[in-house]
Amino acid sequence: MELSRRHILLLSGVGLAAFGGGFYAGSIQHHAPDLRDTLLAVLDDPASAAAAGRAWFQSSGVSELDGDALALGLARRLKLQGWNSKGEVTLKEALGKSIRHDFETDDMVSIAGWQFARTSAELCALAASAPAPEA
Amino acid sequence: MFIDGRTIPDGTVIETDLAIIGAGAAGITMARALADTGIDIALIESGGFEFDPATQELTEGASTGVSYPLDTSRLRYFGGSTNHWGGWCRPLNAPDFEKRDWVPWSGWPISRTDLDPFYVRAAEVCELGASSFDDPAPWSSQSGNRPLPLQGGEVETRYFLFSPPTRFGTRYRKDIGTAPRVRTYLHSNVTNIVTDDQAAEVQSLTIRTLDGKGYEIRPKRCVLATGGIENARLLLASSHAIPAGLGNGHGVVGRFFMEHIHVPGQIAFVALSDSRMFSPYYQDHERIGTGWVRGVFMMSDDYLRHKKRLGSNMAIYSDHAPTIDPVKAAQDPGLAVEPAVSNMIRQTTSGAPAGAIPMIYGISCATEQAPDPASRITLSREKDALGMPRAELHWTLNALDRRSLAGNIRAIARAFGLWGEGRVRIVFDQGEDWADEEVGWGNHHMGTTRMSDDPRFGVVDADCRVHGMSNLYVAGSSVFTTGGAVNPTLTLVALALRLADHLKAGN
Repeated sequence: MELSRRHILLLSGVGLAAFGGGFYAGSIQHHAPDLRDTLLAVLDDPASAAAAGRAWFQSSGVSELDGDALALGLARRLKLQGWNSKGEVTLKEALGKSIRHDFETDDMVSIAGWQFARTSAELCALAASAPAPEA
Repeated sequence: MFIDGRTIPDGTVIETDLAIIGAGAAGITMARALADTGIDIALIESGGFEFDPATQELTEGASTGVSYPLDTSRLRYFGGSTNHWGGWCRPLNAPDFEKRDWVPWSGWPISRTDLDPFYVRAAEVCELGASSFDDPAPWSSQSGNRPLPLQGGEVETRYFLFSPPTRFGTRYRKDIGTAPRVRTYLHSNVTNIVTDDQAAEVQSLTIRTLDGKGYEIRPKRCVLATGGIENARLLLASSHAIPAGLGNGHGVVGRFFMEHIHVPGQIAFVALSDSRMFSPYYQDHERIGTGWVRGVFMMSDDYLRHKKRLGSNMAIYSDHAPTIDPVKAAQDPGLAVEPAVSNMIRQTTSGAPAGAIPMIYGISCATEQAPDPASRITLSREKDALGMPRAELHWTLNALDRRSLAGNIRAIARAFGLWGEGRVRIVFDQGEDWADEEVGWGNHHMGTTRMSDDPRFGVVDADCRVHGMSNLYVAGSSVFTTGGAVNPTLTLVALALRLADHLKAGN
């Protein structure tokens, strides 16, 4: 499945609603930018990830991404892999687990032919959605 | 003894115990195996010791399906196509011989176990120097090479062993030339297999030379060993007793032509977190102990059964560092993404140590083709210089072939991703819908005189004897019931040795 406008809407709608209790619950709207920063902190080269993210959504005909919704959707994925506020599973560990789960379930996204785990692709898209750092 | 057929007086009749038509891998193997058994052998070869354009031209023919060159995919002189083979050797896997419910027409009448002792002997004939095709231990213990620990159980490392490659015509010329009971007739083309009126017994072979002469060989038994195209062509052309041709009572001769489907160039790339993880034997054949070995990726038996697919083997070729050149990246979006891929592996799933050097490797792929009666050799209306109808090949691919190739590429992407140290770029991303123009091949001609216990579905029986005929046998990859995903030479040599034993036993 490629990223589509419908997919983005789903992420910002259903994904938001389903995010419910637990980690980051209760103040999603206010904390989404922080969440995005938290997720992107795992990348030591966000620029290359952003390039891949842009390649993905541009090839899917999407011109603008809702970064907050992407962050929430990704966080939900990682929560399913045990990522929580207690720190029992680190972000990198949860990412690794989610990526492996994607490959196990054949949930791969093609970015210029490269087979990304959907989790990785969404992380790239999130990087692409981040505002450019101030000069 | 070598005899130039052009020096034999017109109309000469030669009697012999056994005629072997064709001095390629199968024919030479059989002649050597039977040389000291008291059997008088006539080994009949179309060409001489060197390539000759006029003789090679006899292989030309038409291609009406997927475009396929009939004249350049084989060689017609002493040694046959071993004069240009690459030496890749690996037996068929045990499941390749079995009836697979998702592969129509599959199931040999013999098993891998039946062929095992002959594979050992075939490895000697092909000068492999070793025989471990699946167990990595011998190759690891002697060299430090290690198979990649791919995960998911769908893709495994297996091994090809390499022949030097043995040029049968050169390597075994002395053996053949000095064998007292082997007479090799060069520049001699069999244009007709003459039988009794019932087409049940070979009585003689009509032989023509390109300079217009002709003679006859009368064998007690005869083995046809001219390759996957010519074997069918000669049976079909020998139609004086039965218009459909010899062994063709059920219209099977020439059908089920199979190749190993290749995609020209790289079918995929794999980015690896650390180039040191890729043992050298993946990128090229390595001399380890007494053998030359190369690791390839093949689909596991469980995967093929579960997914109902045909097998592939995937080999690693070129390598390059992740592209950072903006000019190159601008030309190919896949190159532009390479740094992201390498970084993503390192930052999320890799356990590679510090100092890891990411690298990107090209992957080539050969895939099994399902037997299909519509893929076939027939006779053309055009005739060659000897008056024989030329071959016409209608090579087709079916949905299972396409689905298997597309699915197997995704499987290798999953395997590297699950392991965590690699990611795959699929270059050939047409899924199951790709044009015939994108199809390549391995110059492997199989299946046109396939083996089956049932004459309705095969041309030869489990002993390689043509159904309904008492003294005509076929050797070579044309008897393959299915082709597996590996190069055919080792198997056809093993089958030739098995047939030699059968004939030696007086059958």
